Amino acid sequence: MNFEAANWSEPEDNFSTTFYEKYTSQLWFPEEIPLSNDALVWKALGDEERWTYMHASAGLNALDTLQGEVGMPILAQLVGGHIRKATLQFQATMEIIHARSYSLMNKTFLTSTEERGIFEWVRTQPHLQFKIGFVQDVFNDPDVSNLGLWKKMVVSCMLETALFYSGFFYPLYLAGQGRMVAAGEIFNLIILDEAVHGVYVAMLAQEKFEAMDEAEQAYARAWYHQTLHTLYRNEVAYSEVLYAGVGLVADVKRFIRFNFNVLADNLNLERAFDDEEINPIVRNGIRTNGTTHDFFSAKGNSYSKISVEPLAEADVEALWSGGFPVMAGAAND
Amino acid sequence: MTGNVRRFATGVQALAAGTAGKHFEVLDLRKTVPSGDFLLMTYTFGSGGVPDTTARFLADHAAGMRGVVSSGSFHWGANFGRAGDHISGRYGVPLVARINKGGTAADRQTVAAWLAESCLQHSIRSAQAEHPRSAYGTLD
Repeated sequence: MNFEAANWSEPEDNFSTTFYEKYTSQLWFPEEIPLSNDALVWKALGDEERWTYMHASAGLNALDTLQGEVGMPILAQLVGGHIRKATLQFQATMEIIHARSYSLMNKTFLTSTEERGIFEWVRTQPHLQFKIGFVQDVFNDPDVSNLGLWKKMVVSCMLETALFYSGFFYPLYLAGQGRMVAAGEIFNLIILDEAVHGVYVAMLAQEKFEAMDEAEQAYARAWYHQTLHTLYRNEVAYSEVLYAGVGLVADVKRFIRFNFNVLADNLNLERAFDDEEINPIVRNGIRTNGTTHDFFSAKGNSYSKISVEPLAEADVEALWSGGFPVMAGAAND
Repeated sequence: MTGNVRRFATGVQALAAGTAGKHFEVLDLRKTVPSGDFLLMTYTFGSGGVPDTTARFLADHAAGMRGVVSSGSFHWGANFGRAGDHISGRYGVPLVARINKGGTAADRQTVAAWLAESCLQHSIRSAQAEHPRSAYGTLD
């Protein structure tokens, strides 16, 4: 068969290009946010606080590595369309940047002995390894029917939208109190990336779901609920290990349930849990107005990328007559 | 995009029909233009931006809009559901609710109650009892 070039003028759908452009516009690198600002705060944290923070982020490193190395490449390979493949591959790159960010945090705040200890913990922590093993089995399942592909997309969305949040809770909780704000900004940037990833892959999943017949859909729904509850129980147990020392287990569980409901909304499936409010300090951690801005490329979490438009005759006329030029895209941030 | 706004709109419609006995139409603004007053429901994209399709619709058809509901993602902090703030400010209509994804039962209550109330005020002010229609924006 002849190989085609990717034609961005005739995309295979009406949303993938929008997501690709969104991804490229919010690309950032951890080197742009100096973690050294947090070094003094880090020393002032209690032992339990430091333990939770580092193990939470090291666990996230493993999950982002899984997405970047296994999940996204498999999806990019199995999904049809050059633009979809390109978008998923870019997403894989973003996951790898996230994983590196966590590793840089370890490097900044820990001694090399502590660092090695944490990586060994990740390698042997049973709940984390259960979660990774479960998701990896679905990714590697040879079934590539609509149902099989849908399952792979669903576990990928589960990671992005729900299973990361046991780890995200604590950095947001500290940032919400004005502690560890530089690292907090990295977490915020990662969360914004994951939020968009979770929507994009969920849209691809919805397509696969709609392509199934009724019997398959019924099976898929049952599989989803069973998988969700298996992984939720595992998250609860993992959170008890991570958060018992800092006394936040109940709040973390609520945060996980809240995010599993977001997942259901993205996938157009029934929510598994009741409506709940999330911890207001964590909400505040998400609202942080970035402390580090690179104003011109606007990569902090508080500015959107600067947009430009060419100067026109009318702008000069407006200036001469004492007015101010009107921006064409003023209504659109 | 993921169907949250459509789901929320039909949820509000069912609630309003059940409790207030009011029937509101749900229209897809990509296909239909509402003929009377309406409540706009839209998603948010980018860093709190009004989606292009919603902006294009409003450029021509904002006159009947009596309120706006915006859906977004809580991850965006200050920019969460910001499309609603922009539309509210620009067209001088109330932001009736800002919902996370498909919204909660409390959000549906708020919006159904607003619809029932604005419908009542409207029929008092003018003899023509044109119901506000709940309508949803383009993609989500």
